[in-house]
Amino acid sequence: MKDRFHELLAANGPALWRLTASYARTHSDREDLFQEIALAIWKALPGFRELSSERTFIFRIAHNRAITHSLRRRPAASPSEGLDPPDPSPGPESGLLRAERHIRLQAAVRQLPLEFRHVITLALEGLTYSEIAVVAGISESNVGVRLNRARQMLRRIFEVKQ
Amino acid sequence: MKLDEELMVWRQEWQSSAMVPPDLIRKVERQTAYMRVLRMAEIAVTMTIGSAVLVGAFVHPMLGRDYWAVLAAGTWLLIAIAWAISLRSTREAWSVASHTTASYMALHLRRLRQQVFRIDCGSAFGTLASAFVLVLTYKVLTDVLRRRGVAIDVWDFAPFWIVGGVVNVLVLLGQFGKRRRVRAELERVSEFQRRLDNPPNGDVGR
Repeated sequence: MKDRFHELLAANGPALWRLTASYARTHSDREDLFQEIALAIWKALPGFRELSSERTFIFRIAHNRAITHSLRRRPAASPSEGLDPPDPSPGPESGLLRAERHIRLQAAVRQLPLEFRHVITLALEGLTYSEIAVVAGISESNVGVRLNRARQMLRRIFEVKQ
Repeated sequence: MKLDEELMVWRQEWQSSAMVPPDLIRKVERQTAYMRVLRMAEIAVTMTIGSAVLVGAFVHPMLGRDYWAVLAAGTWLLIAIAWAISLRSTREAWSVASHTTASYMALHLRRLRQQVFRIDCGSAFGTLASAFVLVLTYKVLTDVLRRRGVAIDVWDFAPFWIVGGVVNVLVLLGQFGKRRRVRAELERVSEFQRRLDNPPNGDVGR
């Protein structure tokens, strides 16, 4: 089980770390949340029966933990602290511009109400409607409605900022 | 821009960060090892305290066997109450097979209610346990001193009672604060569950 846990963490660590940006304000808060999620996965791993994909299993635990982590404290006034810069590896786009966009998106997602933030974060990680529905326990049509609403909200946030 | 293009662009922007802080994974690994130790320590502490008072009841040379009998009986009674509260407050807390967000929220609400119950019982239990320890310690000390020819009055132990009382009040205040925080979280989770159950409608945004 130990090896399996390490493999899961190595494969999904970056996605889980990105996820923490949607729910936690400061860097140390993100670290706490990451550890909380990892421990929850470790505890749940013996009960994983492969009825769902590994990815939905991981995201289900991670989002559930993240939501309860956010609800543990009062809603924050400042949404834009503790965001991390993207990889410094060179690419076609300038690193600075990429970093700026990434940080802008993280900050915008953090401003959404939880029930929308939850769905858009999963969509940004590349989960399909049906996978999001499995993770959230809501219908696919409900996922579609929430995702559209979340995107409208994000557009508005970007418009206001421009 | 087409809607799906927009989502694709956002996805690329979102996933452009693929770094986890270097020490974080190692920290998690250390924590999992620590949790295994902690689980064993809970049982070890119970067994050590319970066994120690039983051994003391039979072999301790200084005190009368009656005191040890009361101490052993009281300790085991308190251990039984503590485990009963712990088991009652965690019953069915892990029983939901598929943790979708909706079912997990229902489970989390149950856990929070159990936590309130645990705080209430823990406060009463703590007061009971400390009263038991204070009274028994007082009785043992007065008995030992009396046998050595020193007569003492209950008020000679005033600092002992005051310190015990103050510690108890502080612990109770701490528990009261914790209870308030849990109740506030309970309300936030209930509110989120209501929003999650109802499909979104009305105005966009908050």
